Amino acid sequence: MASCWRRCSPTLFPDETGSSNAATRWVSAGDAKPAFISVTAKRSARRPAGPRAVPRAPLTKWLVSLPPTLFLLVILPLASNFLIRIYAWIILLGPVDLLYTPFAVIAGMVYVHLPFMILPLYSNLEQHDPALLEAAQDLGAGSWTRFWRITLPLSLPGIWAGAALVFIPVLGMFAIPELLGGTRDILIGSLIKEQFLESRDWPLGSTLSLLLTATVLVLAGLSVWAASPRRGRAR
Amino acid sequence: MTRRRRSLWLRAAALTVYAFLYLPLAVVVIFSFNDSLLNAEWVGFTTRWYAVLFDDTAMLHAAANSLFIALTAATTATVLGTMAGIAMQRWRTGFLRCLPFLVLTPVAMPEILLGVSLLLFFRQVLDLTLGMISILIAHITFSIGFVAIIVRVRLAGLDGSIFEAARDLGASPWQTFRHVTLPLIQPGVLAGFLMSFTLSIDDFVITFFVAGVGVTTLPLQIYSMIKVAVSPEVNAVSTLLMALTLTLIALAAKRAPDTLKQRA
Repeated sequence: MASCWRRCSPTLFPDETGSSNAATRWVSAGDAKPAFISVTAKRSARRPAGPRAVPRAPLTKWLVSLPPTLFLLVILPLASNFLIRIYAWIILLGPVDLLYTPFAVIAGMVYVHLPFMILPLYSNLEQHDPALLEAAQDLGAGSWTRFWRITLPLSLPGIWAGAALVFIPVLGMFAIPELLGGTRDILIGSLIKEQFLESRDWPLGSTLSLLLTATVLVLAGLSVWAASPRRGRAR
Repeated sequence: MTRRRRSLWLRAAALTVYAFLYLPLAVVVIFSFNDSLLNAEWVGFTTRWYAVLFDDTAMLHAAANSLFIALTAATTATVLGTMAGIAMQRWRTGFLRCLPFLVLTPVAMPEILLGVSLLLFFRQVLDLTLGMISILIAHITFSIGFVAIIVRVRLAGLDGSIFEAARDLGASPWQTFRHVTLPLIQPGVLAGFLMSFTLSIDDFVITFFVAGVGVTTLPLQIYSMIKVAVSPEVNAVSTLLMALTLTLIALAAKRAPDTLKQRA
């Protein structure tokens, strides 16, 4: 979990990048677990005013209480140690003979990092103006068109932020390939680890680390640029 | 009609995602009560793996280490991080504008990079023997940024004129801090402490690099166990660890809505 919380922030420094509502809130949310709660609390407070709250009271109540719960449920798995989550996959994949394959490595990585894709997307989607979708519907757009032409383009900043939040930590990963992968599933993370702890070739290890650092910085910069709301709106 | 069909579809997709997120963890918990050495099929209910766990001196020793490191690191990081947070909030011009960047960078890098750079620093620069001290320094390093962020968020939501008022009324800087600032940021400080504690007790990657041979923490112990074989004892320790983190999160969440509402 430590790992995970640490990773929440590559969508980087809110004040320095001048990024946005969405990104700022996401960063604050990522940096302090508790923030998720207040974000969702605010959302539910706002909800009844929205157009979807028209139905009868009990249903409305259900709608209001549901999203924060669902949202919390995405975060909670992060509360378990990341080794435990990998161990779960050792148990699951062992009996079906999929352990120690590239498939196992990918499954483990997706499992460990999925919440980091969902969270920025959620904080992005939450800010969409429902009136846009309604206007589109009034103008005759079907559900697919509405998604393709409105929701998806508006979500791009969230998609980019999420992609970076997943991609960057995965780049440095060594524990997952080591535990779930076979001997041939070596990533740059495993290589760096090997140089420092096994073959003791520190200069080579440092060079690889520097390469990784440079890659991460470039990617982080790109994602901040891509995730900026100005670009989202321009599309 | 289309609306209804779409919501059904959405519900199915959401259900799949939640199942994906939770089933593996459920399997870990369920098999911790399974009366069989293999995590393969359900044989019967038992708590014997918990008994095995509490008889395992290596595991208990690792747990004690983790607890000690987490408490010490969290306390130190809370003090330093609070100071950094206050400084970040107060000085936003000149050279000190880089301060947030410097504090936050370790937070944003892949852990392995922080791990190897700390390892290099300890060995090549400080010539420190790896062990308890190096683990403590490493954990404090990665926790400070989080405390600083939380404290700064809390401070940003406060009205700065109260501090000026305290000074106008004759309070010394220390008195202002002790009687005005600290009580106001206290929830943020506590949340920062709890966060550092969970980060520290859970950390694997960075500890892996800086631990050396002598000292083992709980995650390191779990890692060496699951690398060798699947054992229900690991299920048991995982279940207990999950329960502990959940409790801490609940505590932090109780404190925090207030902290973060200020900002929004």
